[in-house]
Amino acid sequence: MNMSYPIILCLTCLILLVTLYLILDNRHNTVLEESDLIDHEILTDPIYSLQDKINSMLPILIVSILIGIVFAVLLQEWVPAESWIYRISDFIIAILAGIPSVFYGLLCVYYFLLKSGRVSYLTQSLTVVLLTMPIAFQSTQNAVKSVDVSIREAVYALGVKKSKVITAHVLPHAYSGIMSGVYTAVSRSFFVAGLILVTFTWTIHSRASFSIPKNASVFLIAALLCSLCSSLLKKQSVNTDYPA
Amino acid sequence: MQNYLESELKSLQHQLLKMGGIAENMLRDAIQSIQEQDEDLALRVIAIDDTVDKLENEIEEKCIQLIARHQPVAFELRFLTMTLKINRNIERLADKCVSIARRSLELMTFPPIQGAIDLQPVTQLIQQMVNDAFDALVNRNADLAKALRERDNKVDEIYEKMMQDLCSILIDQPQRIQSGFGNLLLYRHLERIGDLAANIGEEVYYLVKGEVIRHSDL
Amino acid sequence: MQSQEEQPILSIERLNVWYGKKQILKDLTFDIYPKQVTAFIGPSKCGKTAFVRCLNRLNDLQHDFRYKGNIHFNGNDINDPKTKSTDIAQKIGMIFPKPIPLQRSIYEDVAYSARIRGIKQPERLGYIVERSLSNAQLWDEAAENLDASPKTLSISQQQRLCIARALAANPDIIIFDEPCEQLDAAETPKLEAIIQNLKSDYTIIFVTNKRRQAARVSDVAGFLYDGELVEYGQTEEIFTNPKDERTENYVTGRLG
Repeated sequence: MNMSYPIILCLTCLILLVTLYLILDNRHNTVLEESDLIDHEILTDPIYSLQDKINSMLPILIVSILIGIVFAVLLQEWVPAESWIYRISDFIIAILAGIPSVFYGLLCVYYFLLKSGRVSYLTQSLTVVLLTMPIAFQSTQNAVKSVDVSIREAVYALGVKKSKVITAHVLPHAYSGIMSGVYTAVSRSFFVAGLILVTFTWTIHSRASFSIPKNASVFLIAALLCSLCSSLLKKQSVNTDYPA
Repeated sequence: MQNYLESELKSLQHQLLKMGGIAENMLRDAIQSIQEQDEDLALRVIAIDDTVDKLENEIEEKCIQLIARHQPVAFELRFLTMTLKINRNIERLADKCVSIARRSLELMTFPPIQGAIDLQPVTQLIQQMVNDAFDALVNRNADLAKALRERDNKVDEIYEKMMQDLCSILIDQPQRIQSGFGNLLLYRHLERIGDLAANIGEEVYYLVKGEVIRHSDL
Repeated sequence: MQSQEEQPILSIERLNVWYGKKQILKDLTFDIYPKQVTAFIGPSKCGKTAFVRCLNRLNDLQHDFRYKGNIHFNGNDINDPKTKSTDIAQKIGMIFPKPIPLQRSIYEDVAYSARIRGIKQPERLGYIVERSLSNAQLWDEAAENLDASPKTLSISQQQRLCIARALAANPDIIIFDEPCEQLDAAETPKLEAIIQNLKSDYTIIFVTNKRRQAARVSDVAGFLYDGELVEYGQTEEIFTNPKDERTENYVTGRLG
């Protein structure tokens, strides 16, 4: 990896931050008025209907984790590390995985839900995919990468087909790494679900307006910045820790 | 599971003994050719020397290869250096046999001297010595090997005696001087064979005990 | 080597190899003959391992690997796109510096490479496992507990297990890539004896940076220095009367 890589990453990071800041800043005084949601199902039975929605997200959760794993294996094993597909995928995933989970939750609520005024299946699915897929992808990629190259060589030297080498030897050795990523991804999505439930219940019960105060958004953006830096820098090191 | 070097050393010793056997036969035939005035036998001894020379080269090359490839130590090193030296001694022994055969052919052309000296004691002794030298090698018998030196002194004594006898015979028969000279050289060759057998004995002693006894007092 | 009328099993023609921009092997041309131990010696990073990895196409795993030249194995170009790399790997086995057990039991580990080539009958598998283990001189030690995990074996035994596994694949050539690297000095002679025994049935290519070991084990030796094949010939010649000054310096220990 050459020296320009981190600089490009930091620039992109900044652009992303500014964009996010603008989004939040424009809407930080948006108030969730009763009238806005008067005919909305959330009001009639907020907790149960949300619970329902979250339950219906379980298949999406599983599928998105699986896609992350499969995509990571395919990319890591069949795409050369110098190719642009590999570089771009790697880069995008690093950024997506670096964004703290709370942002996805807030974006889901704040941007998707409030802007469109209703919780669509697509919005929810997209949030779940964004939350879990990058984490599953990254941990799988790291786990597969960290399988001792001598194991692969020993198997190849016996004349075993590549697909068999990966399914029968590389993946079993990467199992714990992949599973750790799966659990992290699941915990991330549950955490966000829990967070949304708490916030909504509180908002609705207290009849308070739902908004993000300016000082909170400063913290959130600082968290975002730190998280992104951590995630991008991690790509530089051979460390195989996973973002929480 | 036998060590590779070990089996190589075995085959090397086998080759060395084969060469020794040939030399021993040459000695026997050469002596016989003198005693029985057998021209064919003498010619055969001279002809067979090529085989010994070839074997000598083979053994030497093999030794150098084994030293280069295995860098032996302890017994294996002693064995290889000893083989190199014994190899050389056997080759010289074969050369002496050829010289004896040549003398024997030459002596056949001259009229023999009257009242010639009996070769029997010295030939018997040196044949026995050569035989014992190889026995000592096969059986790793240090005592037998060391005893060869004393027996070589005995050969020297007999040699001195024979020279004196020859001298007094030639004073009486000056016309037989040619034959006398031939005999003189013959005795010398026989005496040298005793030395070579003693040398082999010293090498065998070194192999078994790891101690150089050459040039040391008895 | 030259005196043999036999066809070479491997013939290498003008082989050049690069990893990225760095040239690892420079213009190698020579033949390897069957049923012999051919050793490659040289200081580390001289391209010995890179060379043997060309033979079983293990270099294909290296993304920045490039080559020029031909390697013919029994007359077929091994880098031909029509040649399957798995077939080549089955015919040219390899033993690595570090033994790597692949399966849960000793039996399965050896049977694995036989299964790869499509052998399924339990009796035949049993026979192959026994023969391979005895050829690798592990049968006496492991016959009692074939179901034990290979991890219970010592490193030396694991290395012999890897040899048995390579043998069970029924290769023509076996490459030993510094097989004694991880072994005790006391275990080395055993491995050398195995190699000596195997050479009657297989062609052995032996890579080592221990010149004495190459001298002991090999029939033919090649000295690689900085990607060049400086000298290639009978082991005795190389170790008693080398032609090139660099070889002389290397075998006497003045170089590398």
